[in-house]
Amino acid sequence: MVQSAVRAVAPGGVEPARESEERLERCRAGDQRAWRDLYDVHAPRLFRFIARLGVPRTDAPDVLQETFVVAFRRLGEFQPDRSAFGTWLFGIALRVARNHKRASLRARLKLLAVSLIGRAPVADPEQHAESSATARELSWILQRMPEKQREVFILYEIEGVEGAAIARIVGCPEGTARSRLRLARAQFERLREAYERGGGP
Amino acid sequence: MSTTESWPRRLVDTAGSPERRSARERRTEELLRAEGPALDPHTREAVYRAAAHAALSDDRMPLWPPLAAAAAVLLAFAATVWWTRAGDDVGPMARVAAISGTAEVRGRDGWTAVDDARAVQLPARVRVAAESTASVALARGADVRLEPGTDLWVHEGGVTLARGAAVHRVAPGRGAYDVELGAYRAVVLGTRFWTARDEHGASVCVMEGVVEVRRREETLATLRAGEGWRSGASAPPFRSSLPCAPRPVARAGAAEDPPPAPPRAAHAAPSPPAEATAPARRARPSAPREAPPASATETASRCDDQPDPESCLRALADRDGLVAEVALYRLGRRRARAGDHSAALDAWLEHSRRFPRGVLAEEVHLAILDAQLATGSPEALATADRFLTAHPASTQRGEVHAVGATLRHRAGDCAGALAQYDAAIAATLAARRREEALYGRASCLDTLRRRDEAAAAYRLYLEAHPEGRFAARARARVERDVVPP
Repeated sequence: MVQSAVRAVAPGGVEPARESEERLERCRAGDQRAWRDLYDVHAPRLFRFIARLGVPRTDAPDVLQETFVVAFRRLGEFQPDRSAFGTWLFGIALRVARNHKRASLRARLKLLAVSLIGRAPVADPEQHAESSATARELSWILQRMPEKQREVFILYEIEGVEGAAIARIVGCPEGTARSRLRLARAQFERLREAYERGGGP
Repeated sequence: MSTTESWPRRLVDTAGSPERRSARERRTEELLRAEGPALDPHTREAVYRAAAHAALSDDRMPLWPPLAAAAAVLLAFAATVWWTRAGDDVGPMARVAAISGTAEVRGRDGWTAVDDARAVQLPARVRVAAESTASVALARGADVRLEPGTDLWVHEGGVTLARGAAVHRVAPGRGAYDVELGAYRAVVLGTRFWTARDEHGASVCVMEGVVEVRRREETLATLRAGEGWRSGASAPPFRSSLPCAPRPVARAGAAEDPPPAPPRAAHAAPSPPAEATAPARRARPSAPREAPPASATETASRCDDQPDPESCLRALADRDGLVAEVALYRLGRRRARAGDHSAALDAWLEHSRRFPRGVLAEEVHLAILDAQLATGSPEALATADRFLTAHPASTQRGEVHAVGATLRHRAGDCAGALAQYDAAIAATLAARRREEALYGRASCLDTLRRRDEAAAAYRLYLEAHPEGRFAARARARVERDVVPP
């Protein structure tokens, strides 16, 4: 049931999953069962989103957990008339992932600097551990996109989020988001060709 | 660009007919619809519980009525009494104990260092540093020992191994115990076994009892004592052969290690750090120590109680099979502990000749390197090179590259040393070893008169280790004769 709920919105959906108002009400009232249902519907897709943003796979559960901690605490602040619940969750996940990456960046800066001096950056093997060759290729491409372009590209082309919602999620004007998408698409094609020429793992 | 402008059509336009798309468009669709990493059920459960627990206990939530607070106090008191009486049967809690080195537990405020034994709420995430170990006592008499560098989630019914290796002890008759290993799952009912997970896959080795390895609902192998399994191996379960310890991911416990060699005399810069030539002793993987079936290990252990352990081990070494392997390895260790590195080397070289593909082959190879370094043997560099060829999947390659780099550097082969310093730095390396490699690399560049790169490398070292062991030398180099920043 969880999978079908996710799939129903992923391919052609214009916005991330809309939550039933009734379930949200029960969540606000502290109904644990409703919380669990809410989690089951949204967690798998959010997990993939977080991993695609470049969070190492071993850290992705922590980022997911933090996303839901924030969501559970701030459920009272969610306004259904402003955005779909899924959009709101994507926004939280994006901010938590950014913070996480910033923190881990500080820790890894020195090693990265070593890479920049003499060699190409060392890829995290776990980020290429997905099961299929296609998933590996996509991961390879996404990890090489500039972060802001990557965020918009994932939301629009992979998650199928509607344009205005993307601007709200990433926190920029809609025109800027559209411009990032244009650049991201060009970058996607370049990286794809590079991968096909044998630049991939 | 106006915000009223419409967004472009998606690369995968679901409105279009699949038949009318070009091959490239179909490939794009396949790419963008590729399945990403999936959240396994145990991790999902653990994350949910932790998130719900953290959110519930947050003070921004609606205030609990005073009655609930009083009930919570009573409940906590009852739980304390119950905890005290329950001993190791810790219910929804677990106890982190037997900590050697640095252990951390992840809570709502991030990672917290744990110095002494303490109870943690399940599910919990626990990790130990590269040279540390810890144990976690779970409910129903199970306990799990974390090998160095391990990171895992602990649930009521088992653990999810994120990275590293762990030894599990499960009391029989007290419910199932599962170990999630990525796509694989080890299911047990009462046993003692070892699991590992790294970027190459997962491994299981059983010491007592029976363990089932599953992928989703399919049972891939049923393992009994002495049998091992690793992902990717299509062969049926083996007995006492290499896959029992396919890719050791951790180091030996300090208790059984010989005492570290005294540091060698310091060399003046730009020589490599002197301490860097004794890493194999600390680089020894611990997994093979756990890997052999209990019977061989126990047989060899009995020699410790004999009046002449040396003769006892020698007699066992003259047999065949795993007992002989373990006995030869222990014989070497015993001699090394007594300071007789030449005799230790004899035992390990014999092991190497007789069991080139044995369970302890990697361990023994490192021991030989260790002994050669201790005796200043000129063979050490060749041994290090042979190790890198013979053990391409070893997690100790970084350490051995560091040894090779240092030896080459000392021999004046800075070009060869540089490549190995790079390989060492790129690998998983202990903090101390990384520091040595960073300094050694800078020093080597300096020797090669690649001044700009040397200056950058020294600065990098200083940035990483402003108070490091070679900081004064590095600073002097930067300030004196290399190009200023």
